[in-house]
Amino acid sequence: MTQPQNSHIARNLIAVAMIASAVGTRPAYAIPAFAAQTGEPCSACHIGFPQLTPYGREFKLEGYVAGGMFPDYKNFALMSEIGFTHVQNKVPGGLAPNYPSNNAWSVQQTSLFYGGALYAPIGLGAFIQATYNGVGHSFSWDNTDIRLARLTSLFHKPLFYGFTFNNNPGVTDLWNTPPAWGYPFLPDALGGGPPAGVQLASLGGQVMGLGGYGALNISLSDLLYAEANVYQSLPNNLGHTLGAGYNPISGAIPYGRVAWQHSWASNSFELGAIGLQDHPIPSGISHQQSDTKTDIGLDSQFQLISGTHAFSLQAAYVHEWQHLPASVALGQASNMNNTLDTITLTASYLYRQKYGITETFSDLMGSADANLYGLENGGDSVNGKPNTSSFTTELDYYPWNNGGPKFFPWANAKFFVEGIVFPTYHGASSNYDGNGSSANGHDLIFTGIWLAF
Amino acid sequence: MKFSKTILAAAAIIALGSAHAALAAGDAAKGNDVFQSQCAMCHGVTVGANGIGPSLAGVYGKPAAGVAGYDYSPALKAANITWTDAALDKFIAAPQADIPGTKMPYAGLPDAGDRANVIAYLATLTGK
Repeated sequence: MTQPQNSHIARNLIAVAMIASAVGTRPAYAIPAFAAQTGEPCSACHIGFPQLTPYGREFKLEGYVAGGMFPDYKNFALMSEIGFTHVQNKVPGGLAPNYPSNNAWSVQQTSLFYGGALYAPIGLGAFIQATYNGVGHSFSWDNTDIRLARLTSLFHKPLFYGFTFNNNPGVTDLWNTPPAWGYPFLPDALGGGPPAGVQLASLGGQVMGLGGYGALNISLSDLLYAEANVYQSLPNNLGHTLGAGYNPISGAIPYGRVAWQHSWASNSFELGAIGLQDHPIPSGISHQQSDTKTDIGLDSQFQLISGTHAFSLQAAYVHEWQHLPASVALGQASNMNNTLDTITLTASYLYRQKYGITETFSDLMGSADANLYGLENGGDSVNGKPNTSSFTTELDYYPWNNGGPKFFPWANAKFFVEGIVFPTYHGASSNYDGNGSSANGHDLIFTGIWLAF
Repeated sequence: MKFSKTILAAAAIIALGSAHAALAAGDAAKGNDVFQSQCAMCHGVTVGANGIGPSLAGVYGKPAAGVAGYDYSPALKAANITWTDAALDKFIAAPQADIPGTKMPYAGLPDAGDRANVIAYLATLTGK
């Protein structure tokens, strides 16, 4: 698409958005499928999006069934994220295939959801998302969590327990610290980023798994949560059918999660741990030699919520041990053993459910490995390190959190401006690629609208 | 006839007494403490103060799904119950088990004493 066409689309989108936000309002709903089922406003379940409130966590814990009984047309919803990307230094060859080297509009993703009860009398509900990637021009299944939730008691304490089929370790989580629902809240597919990621952040849609969870109210103010799932990589044919491709992983992938939450009124503090181990096959051919990657993480979340103000803090740390015999044998890695560490710190504030600001510091550090990150195999880190850090500032305006347009009361929207600054990129702050490129050349502005209806 | 009236009067007195049994047994002050930690995030206590859940002012002893201006779940609307001590006790113990499809995703209060205290507190919210 040419830049003049992009500009024309942009003007039309802005005009539509301005008209929509200027018309009269009426009681609004949250993420449309869940909102239509519960009749609750967006703010009941979310501080902005996608951070969950206590009500949102209970709703998810209970299997997405509250307020509903059976599937209904209202349980289907659409979402689209449209934005404009400006990068500090233009990218030769384009921000992505068929995109200009800078200043590009894009429909980053468009998703179809089913959200809500499948059969409430037994606690069966689902969150199912299918996404068209507007940058990569591909269609795939996205976050999916089908769960059966039940209530019983243990030691005379109420216990929610359940079973889940899902496709992303962490998608089932109740807090916004694991990668599945954590930073970045608004990823820009046209922007740069680290050359690697821990497995906890990399398996979404590539795997499918079954598991169980339990949440025990050990006191009126304290909740103990535990979850254990086992995943496997998607078989070749199924992977391609679902648009996920084929990324074989040998054997089963165990995933575990524990967390403790202390609550008072609408406020809460959470402390947790998370872990996963898998055996990816770097050749991409099943039954061949595999590597071993083990992730252990710690996380914490703090929320203060009142009728006017909502403030939250999130911290997450993940350490990954990598044992790479298969990658070394293929020449894809130099070291038999590497490590990756990620730290993410996020603070966000939302005023009157309309005006939000989020600040995030993200840091990825890893072993120097010439074949894995260096220039040998098409990488761009001259010192062979993946180290990348960033500060992200996100400003949001939610015109319909407290009242959607009369002609479409279930609609929700978020206008956003996001700025990302990279102090370090692919191993260094300056000349990281040996060709004089600097980290701040990847600094970017991403602005646009997130629409759900 | 006179005998029947006496029986009816006695039954009415007994029913009235049992309807307030929890109120008598519960401690409204303690119930307020439980309410603040468990219920206040969603429920207001003054008339018209609907939040995520409906205001609970004047709800005690009244038919369910009756607070003006609140969009109740179809399940609660169809439940056709009155918030007596017994009905409240059963609902607060396990909302989804009591009325599947209610939009109140809450694990429930397992302790009968806590429930009695909360019910006693709810009874004080006359809405007047």
